[in-house]
Amino acid sequence: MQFSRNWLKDFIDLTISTEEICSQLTMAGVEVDGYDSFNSKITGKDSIIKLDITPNRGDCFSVYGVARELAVINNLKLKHPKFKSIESSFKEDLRIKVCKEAPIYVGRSIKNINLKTKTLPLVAERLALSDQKLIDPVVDITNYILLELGQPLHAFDRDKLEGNINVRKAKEDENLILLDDQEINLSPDCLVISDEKKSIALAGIMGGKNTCVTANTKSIFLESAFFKPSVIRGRARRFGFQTDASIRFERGVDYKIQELAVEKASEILHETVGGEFGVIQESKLIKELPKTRKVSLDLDRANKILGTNITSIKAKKYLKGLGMNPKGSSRKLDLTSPSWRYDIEIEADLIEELARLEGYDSLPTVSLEPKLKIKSESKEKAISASLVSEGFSEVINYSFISEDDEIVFGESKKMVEVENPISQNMRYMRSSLFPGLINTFIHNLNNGLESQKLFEIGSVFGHKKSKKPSERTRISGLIYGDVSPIHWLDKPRKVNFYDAKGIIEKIVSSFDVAINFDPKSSDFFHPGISSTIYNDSKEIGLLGALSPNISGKLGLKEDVFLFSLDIEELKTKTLQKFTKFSKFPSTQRDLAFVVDKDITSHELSALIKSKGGKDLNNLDLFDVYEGKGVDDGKKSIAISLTWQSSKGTLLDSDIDKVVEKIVNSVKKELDGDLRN
Amino acid sequence: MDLKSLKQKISTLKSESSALINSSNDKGSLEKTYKSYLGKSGEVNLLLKSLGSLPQEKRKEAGMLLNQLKSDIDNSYKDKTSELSKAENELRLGNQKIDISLPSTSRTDGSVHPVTQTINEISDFFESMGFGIESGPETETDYYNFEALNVPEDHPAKDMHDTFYLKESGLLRTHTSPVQIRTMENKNPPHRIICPGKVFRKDSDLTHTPMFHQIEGLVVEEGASFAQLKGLLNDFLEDFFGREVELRFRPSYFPFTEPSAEADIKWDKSWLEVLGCGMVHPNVLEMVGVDAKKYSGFAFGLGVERMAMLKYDIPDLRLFFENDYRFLKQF
Repeated sequence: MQFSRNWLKDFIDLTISTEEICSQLTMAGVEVDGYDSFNSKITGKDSIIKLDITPNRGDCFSVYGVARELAVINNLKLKHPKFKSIESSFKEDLRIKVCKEAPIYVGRSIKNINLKTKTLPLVAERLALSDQKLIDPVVDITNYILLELGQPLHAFDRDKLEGNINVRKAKEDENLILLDDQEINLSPDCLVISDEKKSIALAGIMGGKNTCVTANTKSIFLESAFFKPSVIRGRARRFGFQTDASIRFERGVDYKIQELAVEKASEILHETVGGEFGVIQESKLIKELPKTRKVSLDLDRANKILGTNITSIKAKKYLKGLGMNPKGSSRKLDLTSPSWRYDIEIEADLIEELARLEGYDSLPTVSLEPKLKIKSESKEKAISASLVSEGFSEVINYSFISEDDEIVFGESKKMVEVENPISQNMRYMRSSLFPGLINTFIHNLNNGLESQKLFEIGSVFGHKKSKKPSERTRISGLIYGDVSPIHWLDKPRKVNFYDAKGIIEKIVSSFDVAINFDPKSSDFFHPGISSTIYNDSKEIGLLGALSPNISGKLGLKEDVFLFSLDIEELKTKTLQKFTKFSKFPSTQRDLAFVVDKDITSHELSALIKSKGGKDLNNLDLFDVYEGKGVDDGKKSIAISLTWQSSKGTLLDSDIDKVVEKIVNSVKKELDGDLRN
Repeated sequence: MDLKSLKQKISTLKSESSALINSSNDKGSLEKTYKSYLGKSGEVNLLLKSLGSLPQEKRKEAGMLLNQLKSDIDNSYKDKTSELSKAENELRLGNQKIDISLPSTSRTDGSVHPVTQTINEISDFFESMGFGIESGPETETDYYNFEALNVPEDHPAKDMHDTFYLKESGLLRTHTSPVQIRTMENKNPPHRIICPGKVFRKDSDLTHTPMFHQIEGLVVEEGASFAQLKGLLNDFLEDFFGREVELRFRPSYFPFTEPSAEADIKWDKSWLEVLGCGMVHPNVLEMVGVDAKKYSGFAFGLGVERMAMLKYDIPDLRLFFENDYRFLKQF
């Protein structure tokens, strides 16, 4: 809301600067967006004050309301809105039927008005300063009263009304064309104003097209009603809009000013468009009016929570100023909430009022005492640290991805879809971190970064059986290009599958989890250069080269390698205790076997381990060779074995026997021969 | 030869040999010189052989003099040898000089995303104060995101959050406050926790991205006060920015706190909003079954990107999610 500063003068004699007014309002919780000074031809020096009012302070949605707040802050007298009552010249023949959602409805007919007149200059100026478009004198005056008092008014074309007024719930599937020409489909939780033939307004939100004031209007029926916040809340939003009226009604309008608003509007209407005024018609359901809430305040508790020492005299002064009528003993006060404050319900609300008027800045400040808390190490931090030391950069991508990306990389059969996405390419919740990594990689590649190591830690989403989406935390990474930056001492090498595998092993090494690799793959990977990572039989990750079908489309020169691990499957290590190491010498033997190409190194080393005896404590694969000297369809795998016993020095003859056993087993089980 | 002429000869040999030895430039000529005096047919040996021609009583003295000469030459020879070795060694090492300005083999580290770094910096402070770090799901229910936080259906306060809803059910959390609710449901007070994480709001322009990071904190203890909240946030902001900050609290509105406040810091002469906070609303405590008569609480929340932008002078929020290496490498 914005308004002219000079408008405040109608209600309060303020001598402070606009700057000071804004600062006072800000520090009282009525946020000020700013102010602009200018010279008004009518009122002289003036400023436009722009407010950003929080949902709890509906009472400040009017010039009068802001003046009321300033009066309390400055301890000044608030002048009540003045008006000259316009005498009626005829009896109202319209009957008004209200309901419990609309317990007050005040109406007045004005006949033979002259709509060719102009809105009064001061009214016009103030509306313009409040950023209100001028429409016609009648609508302008209703807008003026709304801004001044916070009471929304509506004017119907009296001649288009067919019979008595009824405020009622909408019927199932009832339609209404609003002032702005949009047709809405109503449901029974919406309140409408109707005559005997048709609905004529969406109560508290917007009038209907069928009865609106036009250039030809001769007579009007002015509505000033009180609608309960609960019947207005969310209704306008449901149809995708908000109005000045709905904003006020859903926050709560003072239920004691409906007649005042009609009187005040009548006075200005009389001066502007003239006409004959009917008797003010009022329909009320007293029982349904908001209850005056009684709230008690334990001053000791308030002081404890605020850390203050506010005396009961001071507290009473503040609360009286706010119109809360404090009563009771010195330490315990009983208060009633004023008709314009809907945010005063419990003691905490009163504590806030005390704090506000005392000034948040002048409330005491004490340091919180630290407490000892035994830290638990974050898995994400540990993973991040080890990847960063390997030259990886962390990225953070949106959790939203496009349908295409989700279809290619999605690991979840049922995708999690956003009902109201910000754009079509952000319509799904990612079930894989790969699309984001690839997009980031392409962005940086296009910017000249030829070698990249990226990782992301984040949630991935999917649907299992239930409707509720499931989430998992995952680490995924991407490597591309040179294994390390070019260096004068090194021979350049491109990254490969084993670099990615090494990263997986490095991550896993800081956790208590055993993994094994299986050549089973996903469609988006190269079928021969990819693997699934298992812990026992549970799938916990993936790695591989991006499928040439995809990398070809992306125009990539080299293979991209991707990897991922489910962080939840990585169990934190328990405290590592010291284990004794052997002080006896170790014995080393190097063996090279020629085996079929299809035999994996894992098969060979697993067999050797099983036959190598309990003292075999290290196995290093140091060469794999195919080509000259090795038959076609065969390969040579060279392995270095180390034995060491904790009980004594091992004899060469014992090792010879073990080696013989290994060689025999390799021959028997893998048809492999010792290479000469 | 008489003793007198022998003595003269010894004196000549001494000065002559010393000069020759000292003027040797390499081990070869030194060796040659040495041998010309002390070798088998060297001058000193020749003199020793001629001792017999001296009278008996003079031989002893002459022998001593000659031995003295021998040891003098020997010493000069040894000194010169070590001098030459040293020079040779220096020359050899001197030739082994490398270009120490060539690039080292140290591998450059990667980088932690500035959002993660900022979360870590903030978490470190709160952990040192005894706060635990809690996390929760990013897909939430209306109950945890709104209802349990005292935001009823259709309440205008919901407009403060432009919520993303999921097609099947639920929504994307608009703040990390649901983690506070889940923590209070699962554990008994007292509580000191912070909840960092991603949050989602349907908003996208220069100053808003549809996803960003938040850290919210919660303290529920006997005697938790607004004065402590002010003190804690002041200490935190000074720790975070590494300097004294001018901080101001002003009333605001959040459905889950009462009193509610917004904290602004003085930045280039104007006030800048950095934190929302307040005393936990009694309705919230009641809903999770915390005895509001015994315990009071306060909570606060901040936007991680915003804090990082202030601290590191980052001009555009969207840089965080572009992941351009020229941006990431700076952190």
